[in-house]
Amino acid sequence: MTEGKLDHFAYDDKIVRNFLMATMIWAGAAFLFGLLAALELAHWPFNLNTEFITFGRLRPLHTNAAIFAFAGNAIFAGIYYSTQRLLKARMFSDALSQIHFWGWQLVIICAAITLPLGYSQSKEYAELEWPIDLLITLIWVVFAINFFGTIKKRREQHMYVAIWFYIATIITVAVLHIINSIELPVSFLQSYPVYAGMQDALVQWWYGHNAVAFFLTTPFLGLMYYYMPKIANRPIYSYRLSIIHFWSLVFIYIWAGPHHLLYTALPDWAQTLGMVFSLMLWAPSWGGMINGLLTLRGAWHLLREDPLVKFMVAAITFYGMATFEGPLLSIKSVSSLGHYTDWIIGHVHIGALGWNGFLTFAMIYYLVPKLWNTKLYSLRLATAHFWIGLLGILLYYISMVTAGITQGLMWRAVDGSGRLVYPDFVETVTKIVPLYWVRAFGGLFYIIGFALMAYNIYRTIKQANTKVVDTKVSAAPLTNHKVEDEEPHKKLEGMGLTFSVLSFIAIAVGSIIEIVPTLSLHKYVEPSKIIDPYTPLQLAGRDIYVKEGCYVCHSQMIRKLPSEVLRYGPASTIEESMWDRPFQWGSKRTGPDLARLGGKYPSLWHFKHMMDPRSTSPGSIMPNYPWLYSKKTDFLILRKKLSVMKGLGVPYSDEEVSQADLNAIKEAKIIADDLRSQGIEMEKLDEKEIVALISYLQALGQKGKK
Amino acid sequence: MSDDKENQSTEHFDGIVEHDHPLPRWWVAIFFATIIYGVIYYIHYESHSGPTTDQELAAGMQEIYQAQKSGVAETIDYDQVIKKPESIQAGAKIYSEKCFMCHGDKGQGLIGPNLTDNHWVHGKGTSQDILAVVQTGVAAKGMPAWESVLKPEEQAQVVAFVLSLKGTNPKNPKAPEGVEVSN
Repeated sequence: MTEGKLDHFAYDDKIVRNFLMATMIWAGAAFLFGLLAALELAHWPFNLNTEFITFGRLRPLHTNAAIFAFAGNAIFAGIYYSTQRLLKARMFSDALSQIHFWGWQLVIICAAITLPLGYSQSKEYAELEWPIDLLITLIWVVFAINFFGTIKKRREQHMYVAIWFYIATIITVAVLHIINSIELPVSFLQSYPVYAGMQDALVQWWYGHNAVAFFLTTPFLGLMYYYMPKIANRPIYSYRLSIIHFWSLVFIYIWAGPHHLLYTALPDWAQTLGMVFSLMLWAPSWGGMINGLLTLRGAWHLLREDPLVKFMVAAITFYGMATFEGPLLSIKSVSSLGHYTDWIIGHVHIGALGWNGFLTFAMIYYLVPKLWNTKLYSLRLATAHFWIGLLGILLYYISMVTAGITQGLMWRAVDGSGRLVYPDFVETVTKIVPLYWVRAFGGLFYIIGFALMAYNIYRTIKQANTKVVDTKVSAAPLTNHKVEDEEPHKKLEGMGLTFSVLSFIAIAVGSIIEIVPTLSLHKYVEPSKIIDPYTPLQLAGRDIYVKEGCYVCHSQMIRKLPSEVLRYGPASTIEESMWDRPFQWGSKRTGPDLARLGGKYPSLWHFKHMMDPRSTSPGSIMPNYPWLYSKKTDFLILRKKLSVMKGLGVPYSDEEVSQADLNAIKEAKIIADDLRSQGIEMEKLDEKEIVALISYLQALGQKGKK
Repeated sequence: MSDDKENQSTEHFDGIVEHDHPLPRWWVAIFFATIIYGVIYYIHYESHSGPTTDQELAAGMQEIYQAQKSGVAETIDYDQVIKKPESIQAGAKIYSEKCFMCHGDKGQGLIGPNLTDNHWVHGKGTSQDILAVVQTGVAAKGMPAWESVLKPEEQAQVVAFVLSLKGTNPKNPKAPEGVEVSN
C-alpha cells in the first residue's frame, strides 16, 4: 500500500449531524404518539373526541414515526458516518446527500399531515397514499445512487461486514416498497391496491415482516458491526460467523412473512413455509447476537463502567430475546394463542425500544461528541437514562405479554359443555385494562430517559464552542492489482456489483416462490362460492372503515380454530374477501372480530354504538365517533371508485358504474328510513357517513350466504 | 489471549479488527437442527401425512359438538325455576348486564321492543314463548341467541324477570310493536 501518492479529502460530517438532529426530533414525536396511544387504550376519553388523534389514526402515525422517522433517520446517520470511514471516501455526491436528507424529512411531514386526516391505505407500515409512495421511491433511489456511487469510488478494496448489511437493506427495501405499493389512484389522496383479499394479505405481510427484517434488523446489524467494536474498542469475534449469518439471514428472512397469517384463509402450503422458515431464522439471527456480545469477551468490565457499552449490550441482548421469541411465536400452536393479542405488541416493542432504540442511543452518545469535537456532557446522566429506559422496557414487555397470554387463554376457554367460558368479548378486555396502565407507565419511563438524553446532548453541543469542520483524511487510491490467492468470499468483498447482485438473488428466491403462485388468485377460488361485489354504498362505507383505521383493533378473519368458530361463526374463506381492496384481515383484536358482524344487530344498534359504544356494550374501551354523524358521504366519487374497481377486475356492469351514486343514494334511504322508523331524527340523515358505514357493517359476512 | 492471536484476521477497517473464531458448536447445532426440522415438518404436512388446517378444525369442532350433546343431558325443569320467587332477582342481575342496552333499563324498549306492555312480536308472551326467544334469538331482528352464553338456569331466571316487568308502566316507553295479547 505504499504507492506514495495519497488523496487528501474530507468526510461529509455535516450530513451526519443533520440526520442525528432529525433522529432526536422525530424520536420525541414517535415516543409521545406512542404514549398517547397507550393512554387511549387505558382510558378511552384520552382522544378528546377528536378524530385526528383517535386510536385508529394515531396508531399508524406512531408506527410510521417510530419506524421511518426515528429509526430511519438513525440508520441514515449511522450509515453516512460509517460508510465514508469504512470505504475511505467522501459520499459520492453532496447534492444527493442533501436531497436524501430533505426529501426524507418531507416524506415524514407528508405522513404527519395525511395520516391524522385519515388518508391511509390501511396496509401496516405502508399506509401512506400513492403520491407519498412515489416520493419515497424517488428518495430511496437517490440514497441508493449515493451509496453505491460511494462504493464505486472507495479507497478500501474489501467491504467490511457492515457494508454488506447496508447493501442488503437498500436493495431489499426498494423491492419491498415498490411491489407492495402497486396501486391504482382513485383521487389525489386515495388508491386501491392491485392485489385483493388473500393475495393482498400475503404481499402485505411479506412486506410487513420484511420491513422489520430489512428496515429494523439488517441496517441495525450493520450499525452494530461498526459501532460495537468502536465503542468497546475491541475486535469483532468471528469473521466467518459474520459471513454465514449474513447470507443465511438475508436468504431465509424473506420467506417468513406468512407466519402473520397462520390458521387464516391463506393456503396451507404458504402458512407452512412461513412457519418453518421462521424457525430456521433463529440461528442466523443469533449469529449476529454472538458476534456482537462476544466482541466484549475479555473486557466485560466495560459493561460496568461505560453507559455506552451498557446500551449496546442491552440492545444486542434484546435482539437475541426478540429473535428467539419470533420463531417461538411462529410455531402454529403458539401463534394460535398469541396472535391478535398484546403479546405481539410486547414482542415488537422489545425490538423497537430495546434493540433499535437502545442501539440508536448508544450510537448518538458515541457520535455527538465526535462530530462536535467535544466530550459528552455527563456520563452519569447517560447511565441514569440507561436504567430508567431499561425499567420502562421491562414494564412494557412484562405487562403486554401478561395481557396477551391472559386474553388469549380467555378467548379460547371452552367448558365441559362445549360453551365459551367468556362469551362476552368485553369481559376479556376489561380484565387487561389495568395492564394497559402499566404499559403506559413503562412508556412514560422510556420517555423520561429520552428526555435526560435530549438534555445531555443539548449541553454537549452547547459546550462545544469551537467551529466544527469536516474530518480531514488522507488515503491512497485503490490500485488495480488483484490478489490472486484470496478466499472466494474475500474476493467477493472486493466486488461491489457482484455482491449486490447476489444479495438481490438471495432475497428474490423466497419472494418469487411465495408470491407468484397466489397472483392467479382465481386458482384458489371455488367458482360456486364466488361472492357479489360490494354495492356502491357498502364500498363508500368500507372506505370510511379504512379511513378510520378500524382494522387496527378489529380483525375480519375468523381463524380455523374451534374456539373462534364457536365465538364468531364459520371460519373465513378466501372467497369472502376476494374483492377486498385493501384486505382488512387485521392483525390485532382490541375489539372482537367483525368478519360476520352483518345482520347480527339492527342498524339502530350500530347507530347508537358508534355514537357511544358504552350505550350498547357496557365496559367497551372503543372511542366515540361523533364526526360520523356530521360528515357527509361523497356519493359522486363512487362512479370513479367503481370504475377503478372494475378496471382491477371486479365484475361491475357499465350501468352499475354509471349509476353508482344514484344507487348509493337509494341504498342510503332504505337504511335511513329504518332508523327514522325507530325514532331517529336527524337532518339529512341519508347523507351522513354513519349510514354508509352501517351499510358496510351490515354486509360483513353476508355475501357468502346465498 | 494467545487464542485470539491465532484467530486474528489481518483485516482492519477504520481501525476495527476482526478475529476469526470458529463457529460455536451449539450454534451450528441449532442451525442445522432447525433446517432439518423444517424440511421434515414441511414434507409431513404438505404430503398429507399430517392433517390440513381444515381437518384440524373439523376434528376440534367434533369434540365441541360431542361436549354440547352430552351437555343436553343436564337440562333442567325450566318452569320450576321460572316460578321460583328468587329467580326474579337473579334474572334482574343478568338483565342488567346483557339485556338493558337494547330493551332499556326498565324494560321500556330502546333498540329492541318494549317488554312491559301487552304487545308481543314473537308469540304471545307466555313463559315458553319468551324462553324460546331468549334461547334461539331472532336473527332477522338482531336479537342474539343466548343459548350458548347463558346456562339453562340463567335463561329461566331472565324469563322470570321479564315476566315480572309486565304492566310496570316505566317512563319513556317505546311504542307498542307486534300483536296485542289480552290477559
